[in-house]
Amino acid sequence: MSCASCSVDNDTRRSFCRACGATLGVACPRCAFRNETADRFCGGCGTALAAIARPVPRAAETAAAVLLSAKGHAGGGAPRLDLDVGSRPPPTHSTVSPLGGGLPALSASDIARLLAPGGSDETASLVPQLTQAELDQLFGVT
Amino acid sequence: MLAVRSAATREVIRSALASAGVTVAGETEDVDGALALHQFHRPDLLVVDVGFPHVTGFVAALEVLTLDPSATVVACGGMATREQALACRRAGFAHFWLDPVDPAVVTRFARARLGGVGRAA
Repeated sequence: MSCASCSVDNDTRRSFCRACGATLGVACPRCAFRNETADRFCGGCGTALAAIARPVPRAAETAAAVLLSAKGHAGGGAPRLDLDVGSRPPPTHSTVSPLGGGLPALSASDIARLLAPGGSDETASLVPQLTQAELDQLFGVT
Repeated sequence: MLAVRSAATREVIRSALASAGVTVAGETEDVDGALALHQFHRPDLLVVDVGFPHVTGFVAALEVLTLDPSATVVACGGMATREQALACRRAGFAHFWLDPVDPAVVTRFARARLGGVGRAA
């Protein structure tokens, strides 16, 4: 995957550029598949990506991490782990996808967005919750 | 190891794991302490209460998976959208157990992924 910021080629598993640290690709709002910046349709589910915001600047990633930390404290959490998240260098965020196999790693903004109360968009309250059977299938445990 | 806030849920999981021959090495309701306990016990299985929308359990589990990508970590929570479940899967979670936890789901997972008897959670 080529970095939109500095054009350096990066491994497809990376969320952040190895050369400049910029966010790589665009996460599909429907299936979270990380697509190339120039892609018009999601490689994971086919959703049109034309109207989706382009890569988030690093400053915004940091802000998302801080937001995530604030949410953690609101839940009564200890600050240690939250601070680790906020202060961790961006590339570390891309190391939490041991599955490989084309599944992109999570960035701080991904996590903050996904764990926001009610989900990730304005209609989140209408998003159906998965059943255990569906989760079994999704994780391949049947 | 079980890092789950609810004592009742821990009891259900512990019993189900026991029926599959898996011994629980440690339990805590302090989800934030999951990382430290995991480092200490090095269990075959770590169950973490991700408790959406609170994220401390999720973050602790990510820390575990970052430090030990081979760790078997299961998320446990009251609800999950497809997107949230996919996020867990991408982060390396082995499964997501909905709370209230179905003992049959735990047992099936333990036998399939841990091999049952002799393993420690």
